[in-house]
Amino acid sequence: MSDQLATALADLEEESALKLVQERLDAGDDPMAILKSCHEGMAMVGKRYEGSEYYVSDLIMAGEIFKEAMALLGSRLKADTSSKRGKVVAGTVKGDIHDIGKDILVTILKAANYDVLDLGVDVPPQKFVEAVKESGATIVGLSGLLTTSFESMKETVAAFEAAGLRSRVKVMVGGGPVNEMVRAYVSADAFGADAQAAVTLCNQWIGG
Amino acid sequence: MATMTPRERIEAAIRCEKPDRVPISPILDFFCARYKGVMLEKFINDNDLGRELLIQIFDEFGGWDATYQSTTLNEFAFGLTLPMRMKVPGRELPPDMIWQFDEIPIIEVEDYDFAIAHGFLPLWGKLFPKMRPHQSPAQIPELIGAWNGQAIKDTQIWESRGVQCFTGVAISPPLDFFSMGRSLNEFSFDLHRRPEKVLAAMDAIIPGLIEAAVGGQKMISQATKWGFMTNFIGATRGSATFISPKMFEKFNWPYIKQIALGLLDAGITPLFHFDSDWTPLLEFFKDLPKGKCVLEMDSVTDIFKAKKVLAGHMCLMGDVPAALLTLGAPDQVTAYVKRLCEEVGDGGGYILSSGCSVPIDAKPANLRAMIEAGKRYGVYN
Repeated sequence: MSDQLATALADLEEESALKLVQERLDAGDDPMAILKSCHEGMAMVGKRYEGSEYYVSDLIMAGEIFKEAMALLGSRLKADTSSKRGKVVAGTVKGDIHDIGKDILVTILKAANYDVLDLGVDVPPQKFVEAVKESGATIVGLSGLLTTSFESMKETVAAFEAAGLRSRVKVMVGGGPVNEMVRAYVSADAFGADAQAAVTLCNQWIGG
Repeated sequence: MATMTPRERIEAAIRCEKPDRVPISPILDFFCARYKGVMLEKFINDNDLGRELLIQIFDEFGGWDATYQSTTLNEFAFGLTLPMRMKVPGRELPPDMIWQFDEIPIIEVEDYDFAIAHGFLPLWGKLFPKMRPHQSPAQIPELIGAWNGQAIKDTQIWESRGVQCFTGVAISPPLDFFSMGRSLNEFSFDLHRRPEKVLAAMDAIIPGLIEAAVGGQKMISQATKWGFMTNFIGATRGSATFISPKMFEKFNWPYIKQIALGLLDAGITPLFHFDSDWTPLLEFFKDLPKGKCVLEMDSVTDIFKAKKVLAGHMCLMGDVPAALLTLGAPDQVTAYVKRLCEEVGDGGGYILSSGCSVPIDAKPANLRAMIEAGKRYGVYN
């Protein structure tokens, strides 16, 4: 039997997806099973994005429906942290206040069942290091739209070296002008051309 | 050997013909300040200084075919195109930090109805206090008058040196206007939740947008010898980086086309300054008249693919990547420019430029390499 909720979410049918969540809750369905359907829907969205059927605005809409569904499930999910795939620390680096790329990354990673610590924008290197120390995250996502953010990315990676944590984290970089040349310059492990690429990277790292 | 004037060279490229050499017109803004050791806080509020630095750099680096802008960027003028709030150095940011857009919703859902009822200029007036809370709407005529005066002065000074100003008046297609003003998230929801409302608002603002551009161009043409060679149409959010080709066809292309045809009707050349990825959308541009528009890319769009799709149909411009100018070495820049001249320049219809602005922290030697390689490898037999 096909999962109606997963399909509605994948089709970006906001009203019917949320109605299905509510109906299943009212019928006494296990909130974890409802969450599972939502994750399945988001995985379908990711596939459609990779297949160039969906684009960023569709990812944003899917992320919003997912958030609204989570709000309906609310406190019933609070106990759940063990089923997360991994922990990611994300932020826009020092000197750059652009947040849209970083926000999409956070939304999509959360929807892909990652525990994401969003440090916001204009984040100094030390704050990334402290966040990793405190949270035990194994992946760091650095975002930047300005070419001046390259230096900040480099400093951030160097701060992980200095703290003796470099071998314990994978660092991915992304944002407008970021490419392989930038990745090499800042000594990151990978660059992602978009938020979905970041999910793929995290899955590889966590799986491998 | 040069057999054409810089103006003739660019005009030939726009017609998709072969000039004597690939014309060159890099975009220079904050780079001028950093290179000359001027704080950004001072730089963005002093247009005479901005133009003076641009002229100095033009001379120091051997000159090129048209200055992209007549001055460097002015905060007020830059902010006119998009309904967004800007954080600027010395006001919300440290005195030497590059300005940045603050992605907060300036346009509310209700404003779509306002746009439908009143059109572009009244909507812009309504949004002004939210875009620029430090200024009063009563100051608008004075601010615009001052900026127009500056644009005329800058253009006249360049013209007295025999240099054409490539572009000046700037507008954005309705999709970018609303996406920037609503914020990317809210606008993405709108595309799914209220598509008909969005389309009706776009229909309502398009005549005013075109009139504003034509009016600005007339003002500058009447007061100067050559005026601006093109009208800048800036867009990012309407690209395939953000929306699907299906959405593009419905929400963006019809309006881009109307703007282009409206400008062409008034004898103005449209310059599509289109950042982000337009690669899957290139076929659409064949729909516009041949040899009349310029498509300028920032290196995210595949300019080599653009050449394959649009050769002989539309002049292409770009796209030395920001990261290459900042992190690369001069010989890497030279190699890339050589490839651009050989492949994108093949048969004509190409203008060499930076992919969007030359970054503030570009290596000066890389800018020099770009200009020199263009002059060397861009020569047609």
